Amino acid sequence: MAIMSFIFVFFFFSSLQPILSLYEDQVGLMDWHQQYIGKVKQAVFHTHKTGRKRVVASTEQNIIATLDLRSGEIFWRHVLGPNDVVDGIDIALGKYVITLSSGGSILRAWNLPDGQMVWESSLHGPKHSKSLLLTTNLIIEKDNSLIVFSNGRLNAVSCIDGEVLWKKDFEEESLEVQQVIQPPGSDFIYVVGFAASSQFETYKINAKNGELLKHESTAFSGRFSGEVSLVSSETVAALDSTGSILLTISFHNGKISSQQTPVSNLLEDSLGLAVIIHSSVTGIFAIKTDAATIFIRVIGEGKLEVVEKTNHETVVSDALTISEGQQAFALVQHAGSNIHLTVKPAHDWDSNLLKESIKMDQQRGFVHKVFINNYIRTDRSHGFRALIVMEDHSLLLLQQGAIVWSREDGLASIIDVTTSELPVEKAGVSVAKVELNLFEWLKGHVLKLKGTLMLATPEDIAAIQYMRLKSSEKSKMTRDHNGFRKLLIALTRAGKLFALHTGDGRIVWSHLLQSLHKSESCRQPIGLNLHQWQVPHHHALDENPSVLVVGRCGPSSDALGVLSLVDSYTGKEFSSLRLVHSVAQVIPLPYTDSTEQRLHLLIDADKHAHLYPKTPEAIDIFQSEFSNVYWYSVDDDNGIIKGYALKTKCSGNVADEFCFDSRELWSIVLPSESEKIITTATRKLNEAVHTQAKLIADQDVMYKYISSNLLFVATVAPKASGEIGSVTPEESWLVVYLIDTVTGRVLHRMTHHGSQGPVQAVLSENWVVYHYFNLRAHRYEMSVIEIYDQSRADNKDVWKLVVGNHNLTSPVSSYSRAEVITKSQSYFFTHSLKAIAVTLTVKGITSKQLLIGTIGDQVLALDKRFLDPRRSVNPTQAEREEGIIPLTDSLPIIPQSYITHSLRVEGLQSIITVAAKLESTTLVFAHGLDLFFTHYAPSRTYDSLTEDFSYALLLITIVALVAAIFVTWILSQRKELQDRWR
Amino acid sequence: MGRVAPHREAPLKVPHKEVPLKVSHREAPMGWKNQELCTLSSCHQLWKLSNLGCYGTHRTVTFARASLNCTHDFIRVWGWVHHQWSSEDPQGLGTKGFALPGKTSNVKVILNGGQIVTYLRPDGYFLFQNIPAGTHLIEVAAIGYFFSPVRVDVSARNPGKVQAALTENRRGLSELVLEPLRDEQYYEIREPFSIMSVVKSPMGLMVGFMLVVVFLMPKLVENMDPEEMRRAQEEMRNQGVPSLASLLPGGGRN
Repeated sequence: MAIMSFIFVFFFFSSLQPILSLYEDQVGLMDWHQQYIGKVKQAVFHTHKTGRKRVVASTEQNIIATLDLRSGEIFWRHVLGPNDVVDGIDIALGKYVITLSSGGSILRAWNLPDGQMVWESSLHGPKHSKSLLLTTNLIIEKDNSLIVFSNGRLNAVSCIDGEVLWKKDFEEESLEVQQVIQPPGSDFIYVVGFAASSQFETYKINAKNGELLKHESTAFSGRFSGEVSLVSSETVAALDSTGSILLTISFHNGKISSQQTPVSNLLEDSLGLAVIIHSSVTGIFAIKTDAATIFIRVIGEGKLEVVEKTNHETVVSDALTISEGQQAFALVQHAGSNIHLTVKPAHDWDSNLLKESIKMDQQRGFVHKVFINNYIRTDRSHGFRALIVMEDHSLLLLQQGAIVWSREDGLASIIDVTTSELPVEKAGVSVAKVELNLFEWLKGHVLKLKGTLMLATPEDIAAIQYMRLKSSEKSKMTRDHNGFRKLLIALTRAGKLFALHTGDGRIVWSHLLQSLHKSESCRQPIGLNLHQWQVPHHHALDENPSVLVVGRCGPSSDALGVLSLVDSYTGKEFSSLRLVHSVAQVIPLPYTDSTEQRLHLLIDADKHAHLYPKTPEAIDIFQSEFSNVYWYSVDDDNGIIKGYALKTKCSGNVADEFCFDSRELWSIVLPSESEKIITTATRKLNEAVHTQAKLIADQDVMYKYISSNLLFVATVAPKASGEIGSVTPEESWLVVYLIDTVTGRVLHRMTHHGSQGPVQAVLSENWVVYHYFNLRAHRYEMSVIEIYDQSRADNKDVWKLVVGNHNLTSPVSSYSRAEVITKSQSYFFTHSLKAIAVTLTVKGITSKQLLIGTIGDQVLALDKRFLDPRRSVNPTQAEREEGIIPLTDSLPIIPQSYITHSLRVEGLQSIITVAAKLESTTLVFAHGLDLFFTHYAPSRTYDSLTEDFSYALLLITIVALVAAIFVTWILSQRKELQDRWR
Repeated sequence: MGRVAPHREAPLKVPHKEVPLKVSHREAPMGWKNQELCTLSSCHQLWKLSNLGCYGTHRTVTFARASLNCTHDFIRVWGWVHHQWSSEDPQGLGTKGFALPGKTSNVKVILNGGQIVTYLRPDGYFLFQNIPAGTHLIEVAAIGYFFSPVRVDVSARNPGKVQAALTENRRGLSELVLEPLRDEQYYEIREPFSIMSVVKSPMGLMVGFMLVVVFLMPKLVENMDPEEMRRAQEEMRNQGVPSLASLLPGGGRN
């Protein structure tokens, strides 16, 4: 009976099948999620009240967020629309966050504790202008009010409900309002600005009702340039456009008096291109030139005096009122690997309220912005905390000479991602932080067993959960058998490279790239993409893998390129190149040299091809494959797709044997009046296809047309390239093409009438799935095209196969001009899409699923079988057995198949799939503002035991079985003996 | 609760005789009572402009078709996302039974696949500004709920005409009140331990069969004729079916 009960228990637990979706307690086992806010533009502290201290920040990614000042965690965060750029934020009434956005036309109030929008108000005006937000303590009609200048109109808005209390238009065409000032304690407002660049205008306005009290203007012989800096509530400083004269203009009581000071009186050398730094410190303003930052003090009636000239990168904060009539501001300067934070009172340059030196990671670059806040220490003196934004977009809080917390917000703007394997585990080298001993291992499993048998106490359950989440197994720094542990290498817009561990998402290393650093020769460096440069296996295992970072010195495609090679294990940049040519395209070639460095072809804007690495060995390898290199270019603006091949060595350049001329092979010119290219898609280079043949129901075979040179192009009517709803169905169409990029042959062309973009497409194996908008049905649609090779279809005759009279072994070539047939079908899909990808497994055996990034920033997995052109309303019995799903007009959305479960990947941009070593599993990384990573098994983990599997139970069962066998053996022997005696 | 009255100051105040506008008999709580309207003829040159609005409390929302605003060059689309969590609701008896988890602050309303994103006010109200005439799509992104996209037609030729329909089931909406079609459960529910589920599983059936063999077979054997049984045993011995004991080491020693 003992055996029976054990067998019973064992079978019971082994019968728990792994299912596709997650249980709630499995969250965080294989997935991680990180939230970011991006580069902070403006920050406002909220520390007055008791309770949680917070900082409200607006970022360049159009986010408004409140962070915990103690830990840097996000309390709440809102991602505004792509065109809804935040112009200003402030806190009103101590409980509302006020944001001005969309070029000053939308004013919103958010509840500070929970982020609930309280009111929304729209402000319009006669013309576009600078947007200024000013919170006041003015009380108009019993309401606290905000003063907003936007679109050429001054508005007073109630803080309580967003109602516009009064407004005043400034309609003069040439007027550029620079500042809106409310002198403290007064009930009037100054609006100052330039008219026609040479006229200085002030308007004095009654703050209670918007009535114009006084208007004065003075002409200035030169022209003003850019901003003005507020020196006091009735004085501003400005610079003329030549950078040679400084102006201080005071408008006390509406009377303008100006003072001109030639810069040469203050400084020996001229300023050149100088700008006034926008700051609000009383009595002091700053000018920034390329080389230096100059602080100038205003003494008395327009007299100027240089107080300091710093040659280092110096950043100034806005003024902070620390007590009645006393202001302070912060300066941050770099000195070697330290930064100096200095807080000075506004009236006295020479004394310091605070001077701290903080060691700063070199990989964070320069300080870009600083925001300060004060607090009262126990001894009633003032303490200061500073929030600094670094060059790599990270955000740090400094207090008492130390970094309290830091946030890597550079990760909110990832440009490209690649992966790298981890080092192989070597014997004797312990790489895990915590190696578990046998006892702990057993203890853990006993706990798990208790959990499965529902004997665990709540503490045990918590311990089990902790153990599962913090398993050292998944965050080891070595390669694992299943290929789950990898490094995700991400290039951010700030030019920083991050390596994230797939196990727990921690940053293994980060490196601010030298090649993408701003310099004299490269003023606007931007990162383009990442490629795997060296992936050592087999014979070059001692080498570390490395990645190639491609960038260029400017936004235009003919800007010179830059290259960096970075070691993936250490993050060291071992080579950094400034190229003499531009980079339009990077083609990783399928050849590697003896040290496993991959050959790359960089195509410049003049269609010359440059080979990297520049070694003789590389050129030898390349020469032998010279005639097999083809590429194509897509010119969206002119609607031209061209194919190229290599011709000869570059003729113009002397002695550059790594440069090649190209020749144009073919070109497809789309009629620009009726078609505009909006999307292209190609197959992933590393995609594995397991079999070319596809068995269909009636014992028939279809051969997939598998070519790595397939290009999907979608075009729309030029009129319909705008937003949804801008065209009628009659004047809009979507045309899709499948093009062979070697011969330029159009394999398939299809028109969807009454449809428009945006189009999201993914191409894999022999199929392409694309998503577009159907204007007639007014719904989104997804279509699938499958392409089959007809020339192989007659290989059904067994005799032919036996005799060898078949063409199955002939190579797939673009020149063989195969007969292809296509099948296509369309379905409705509910949501808009932000990204689409397909699962990728190591051998391509596992069935595919589409990963769909929806408008709600979730990632949905959808089985490819739902997008099978052979679906019909009533599939035959044979077809049903094959797994064909009856046709429905729309694709199902099963909530359990959201792989992001209840999380959002805010601002989702792209989904990246990487094959694990385990055939069943694909690694999915989705990034946008947030990062999300998980393992996903499209056909369940058929090749491994699930994480749930209890080894302890198995062990106990085996031990019990063995024991039972011996017991029964003894019993049986005894019985037999008794039988013999009888 | 805030109010929004962006056009209290609008210059025209013409009785809306040509504009079919219905205002809920209840007091409009959002400050919309001051909305200025003008006739179509008074600003015919601005024929493209129209407003689509709904007035009233979030319980009794009346669709106001065509409110034309002459002062601005915009079409606005506004509506409500229906929910139960409103603090405005004194009875607290939401009839629809949808209670979104978390807060309204996490609900986004998206126009045309991301062209404009807006958030909800505490009472579920939302507003889109600067909308050109044409056909638009409004989507609601709320974790835990499935909302159908809504097609909104703003007619250019006839500025008053605005229509809204759910695209999922093609149901027309008389008022722009968006309700989730269903809630979304992202996690599998762990089945509570039950004997039936064990018995029903294939393993359970196998075990059941084995139990039957173990407990019922001896009973069957007992009922057999002893003669027959001996014959059967004889046969088995002849075929040399090894006993368990003979299989084990030392078991065969006899």
